[in-house]
Amino acid sequence: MKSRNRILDTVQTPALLVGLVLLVALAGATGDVTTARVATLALVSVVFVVGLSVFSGNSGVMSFGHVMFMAAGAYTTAYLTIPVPLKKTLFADLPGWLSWLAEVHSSFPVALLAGGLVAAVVGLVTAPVVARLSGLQSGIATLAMLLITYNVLNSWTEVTRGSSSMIGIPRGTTTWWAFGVAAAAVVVAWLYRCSRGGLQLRASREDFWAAQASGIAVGRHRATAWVLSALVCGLAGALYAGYLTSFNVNGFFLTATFSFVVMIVLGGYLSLSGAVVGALAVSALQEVLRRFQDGRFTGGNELPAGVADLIVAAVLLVVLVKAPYGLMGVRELRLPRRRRGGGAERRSEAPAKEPVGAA
Amino acid sequence: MVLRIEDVHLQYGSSVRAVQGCSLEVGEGELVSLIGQNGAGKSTLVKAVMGEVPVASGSITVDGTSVASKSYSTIRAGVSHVPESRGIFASLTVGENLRLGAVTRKDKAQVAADIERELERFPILRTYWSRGASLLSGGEQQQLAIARALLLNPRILLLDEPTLGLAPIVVDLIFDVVVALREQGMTILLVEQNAVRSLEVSDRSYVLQAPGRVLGSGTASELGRMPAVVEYLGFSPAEVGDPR
Amino acid sequence: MILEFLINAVGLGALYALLTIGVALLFGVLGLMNFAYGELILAGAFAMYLFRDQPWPFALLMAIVFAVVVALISERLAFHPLRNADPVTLMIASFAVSLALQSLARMTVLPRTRGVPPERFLSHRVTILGADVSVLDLVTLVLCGVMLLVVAWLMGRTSLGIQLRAAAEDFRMAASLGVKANLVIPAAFVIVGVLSAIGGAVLVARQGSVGADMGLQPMLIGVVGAVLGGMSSLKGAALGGFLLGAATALLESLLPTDLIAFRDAFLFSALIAVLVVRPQGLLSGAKVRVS
Ligand SMILES: Nc1ncnc2c1ncn2[C@@H]1O[C@H](COP(=O)(O)OP(=O)(O)O)[C@@H](O)[C@H]1O
Ligand SMILES: [Mg+2]
Repeated sequence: MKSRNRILDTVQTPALLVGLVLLVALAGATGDVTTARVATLALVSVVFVVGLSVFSGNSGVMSFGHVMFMAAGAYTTAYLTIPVPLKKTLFADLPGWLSWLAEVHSSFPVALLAGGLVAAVVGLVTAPVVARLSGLQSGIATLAMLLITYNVLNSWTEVTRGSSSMIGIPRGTTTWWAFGVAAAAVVVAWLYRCSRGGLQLRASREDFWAAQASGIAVGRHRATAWVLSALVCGLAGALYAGYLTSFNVNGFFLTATFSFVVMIVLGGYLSLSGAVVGALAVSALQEVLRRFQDGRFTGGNELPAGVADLIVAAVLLVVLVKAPYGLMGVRELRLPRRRRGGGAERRSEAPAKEPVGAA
Repeated sequence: MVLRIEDVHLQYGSSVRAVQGCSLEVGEGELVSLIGQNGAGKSTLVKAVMGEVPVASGSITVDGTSVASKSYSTIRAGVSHVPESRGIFASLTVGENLRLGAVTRKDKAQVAADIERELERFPILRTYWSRGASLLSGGEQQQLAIARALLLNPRILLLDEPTLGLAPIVVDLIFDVVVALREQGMTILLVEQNAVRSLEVSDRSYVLQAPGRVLGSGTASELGRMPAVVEYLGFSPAEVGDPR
Repeated sequence: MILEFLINAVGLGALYALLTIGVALLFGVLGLMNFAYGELILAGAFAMYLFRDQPWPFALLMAIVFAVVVALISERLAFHPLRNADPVTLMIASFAVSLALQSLARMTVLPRTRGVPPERFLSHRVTILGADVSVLDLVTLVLCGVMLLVVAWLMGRTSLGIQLRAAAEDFRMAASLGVKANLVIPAAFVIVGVLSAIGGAVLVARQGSVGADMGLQPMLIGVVGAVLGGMSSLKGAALGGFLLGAATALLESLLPTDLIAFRDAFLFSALIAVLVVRPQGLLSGAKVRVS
C-alpha cells in the first residue's frame, strides 16, 4: 500500500504535465491552421524550457546561452534535410573540408536525433566552463557563449548563409511529433530530477559550499545536467526548423533568449512544472498580444510593433518583484486530494536538502 | 539605562536559533563586557542592536526606543559598531575611511576637530593618513575602525572582539584606549573572549553560554561566587578582582 | 601615421573606458550587471537625433538630460523594488528594462535607423606635429578624456565619491556608518546617465546614425571591459576598458578583413577564459566580489 502510494507520488507530476501537454496537442490537432501553429510552437517552447530547466532548475544557476543549443539543432536539421540539389545551390562556396555537408541527407527523425546529439556535443565542449562558475559569472559566461555562436553563425557566410535565411527545409514536425518530444522531455527531465545526480545537484543549489564539503562533486553534476539539457534544447531546435521550414540566425539571439527566460522565470525556474506552465502561459500571452498588435481584437486598429514586447517585459518585471520564484515556486503540480496538511508539499521538495545532512 | 535587552530571542533564517532568552543592561557611562565562548551568540546580540538581525521575540531598546520600531536608526540613536570583521574599506585610504565615520554630521568644523582628536589618540593613523587602508596591519586596522566609530560621538560604543588575533602589545594598547574612553564617560559594551582582561577593566560583566543564555552577571567578585560561571570559565573571576 | 594611429587608439580606449565605468559603477554599488545600459546610450543618442538642427552643445546637454531621466526612471520602476535581490535576478530585470526601452523606441520614433549628419567640423582634418589627424578622433579623445578626469575627481575627491566607493565595496558597512542608499544609488544612476549620454553622442558622431538597437555593442563592450579589468574597482575597470579599446583599434588595423568579422567571437572567448582562469579580472589583485 505504502509503496503504491510512493509510486503514485513520483509519477503523478510527470503524468499531469504530460496530460497538460496532451491537451495543448489535441487543441492543435483539432483546431484550425492558426491554432495548430500556435499549439505546435508552444510545444516546441515546452521542449526548450524543459531542457533549460534540466540545468537551471536543478543547479539553481541561470543560463542565458541555451539558445545556442537550439541553433545547433536547427542548423543540423537544415543540413540533413534540405534536398541535396537545393543545398548545392544554397551552399555553393562550402570550403573543401566541409563539402560533404552538401551531400549528406537523412529523414526528419534521424535529423531530429542528430540535432539533439550535435547540441549535446556543443554542450560537452562548453561544460568545463559551466562546471566552474556560479551565479553572475556563469550568467555572463553563458551569455558570452551565445554571442560567440551568433557571431560565428552570422559571419561564416559560406557555411551558415550568414544573415540570409536558411530555406527549403521540408516540413517534418507535426503537432504530434512536437507532443511526443515534449512528453519525452518531461519524462527525461523528471527522471533526472529524481536520480542520484539530480538530487545531489539540487542539494548544491541550497548550499553550494555545504554540498561541496560533504563530498558532492558539484562541478561534475552540473556538467552532466548541462549536457543533458543541451540535448533536449537541440531537439527543440530541430523541431523548430522542421516546423517553420526556414529560419534566420536572428531567431537564435537575444529576443529568443529573452522570451525563454520570461517563460522559465514566470513559471518558476526551480520547478519542472514551472517550466511547462511558464512555456505554455507565455506562449499564449504572446499570441494574444500579437493579435492585439495586429488589430484583430480592436477592430482593425493596429498597435505599433513593439507593444507586445513592452508588455511581456513589464510582466517579467512584475513577476521578479512580486514572485521571484515564479508561479510555481519550488512546488510541482500534484493531484489536489493528496494534500495532507500544508507542509506535505513542501516536505516532498525537502529531499533537496537531505543528501547534505546524510552524507 | 542606555541599552536594555529583555528576554530576547534571535535567529538566522528559520532554523538557526542563535540567542534564546537573553537579558542585559548597560547604564550611562558604564563599561560592560560580554564574555563567552565561540558561538555563544555574542556577535548575534550586537548585530541585533544594529538592526542587522531581526528581533524574533523580546525587546531591545536604546534610550527607550525599540530597535524594532520603524523610526529607529542607529545613527540617530548614536550607536556605533566596530564589527568583528572591522569593516575597513580596503579600497579607500585611511583618511577617507575616517571621514566616512562622520559622513552624517553637518558640523564640518567640529568634525575636523574630532578627527584631530582621534589622530592624537591613534598617532599611527596620522602617519598613514593617505595610505590605502588595505596596507595596514591588523592592529592598525582595528585602531582605524575604533577611531572611525568614535567620530560619530556615539551614545554607546559596541566593540566586537577588538583584540581578536592581535599581538599582545596591541592588545594592551586597545585595552588602554577602552579604559581611557570609560574614564571620559563613554558608554561601552565590550564583547571579548579574553575573559581575564575584560573582567579586569569592566564595571560589570555578563557571561554568555550558547545559545545566548546569560549564565551569570555582575562584578568580577560577584561572578566568582557563582559555581556555574567558575566552571564555564575554568577560573574564578574573583581572582581577577574588580577594577579600581 | 604613428601619431594618427595613436590618437585613434587612445581615443577609442578613452571611449571604451567611459563605457566600462558605466557598467562597473552600477555593478559595484548595487550588484547590478546592467544590460539596459545600451538603452541609456540610446536615449542620449536619440536626443542628438532630435536636436540635430540645434547647436551641438545644446544637443549634448539634452542628451545628458534624456539619459539621466531614463536612468532615474528605470531605477525607480525596476531596480528600486529589487534592491535586495541577487545579482542574477537583477541581471534578468535589466534584460527586461532593456527590451522595454527598446520596444518603446521602436514603437514611437525609431522604427528604423535614422541618419544624423555629423557636425561639419568633425569631418575636417588638422595637422598636428606634421601628422594629419581627423577632428573626429581628436574630439573623441578630448571629450572622453575630460569625462574620465571628471569621474576621477568626483570619485576621488568628493564626499559623494568616497561614499560611492565605500558602498561599492561593502554596502552594509557603509550603511551602518550612515551612507544612505537613497542617496548613493540614484547618484550612481545619474553618473551612469551622464556617462552614457557622452558615450551615445560620441557614437552618433562616429557612425552618423541612430537606431533602436545601437546600444547593444557599446553595452557589451562595457561588460567585457569591466570583467577584464576586474569589477571590484573602478580604476581596474577603466583600465580594462581602455586596453580593450586600444587593442580593438590595433586589431582593426592589423587583422585581415575576413577575420575582423569574427572579432566578437575572439573577444568573448577571451572573456570566458578570463572568467574561468582569473575571475577577479586580468588587472586586479583583489579578490572577487562577484555573485
Ligand atoms: N550569518 C549566520 N547565519 C547562520 N548562522 C549564524 C550566522 N552567524 C552566526 N551564526 C550562528 O549563530 C550562533 C552564534 O554565533 P555568534 O553570535 O557569531 O557567536 P559568537 O560571536 O559568540 O562567537 C553560532 O552557532 C553560529 O554558527
Ligand atoms: Mg563573534
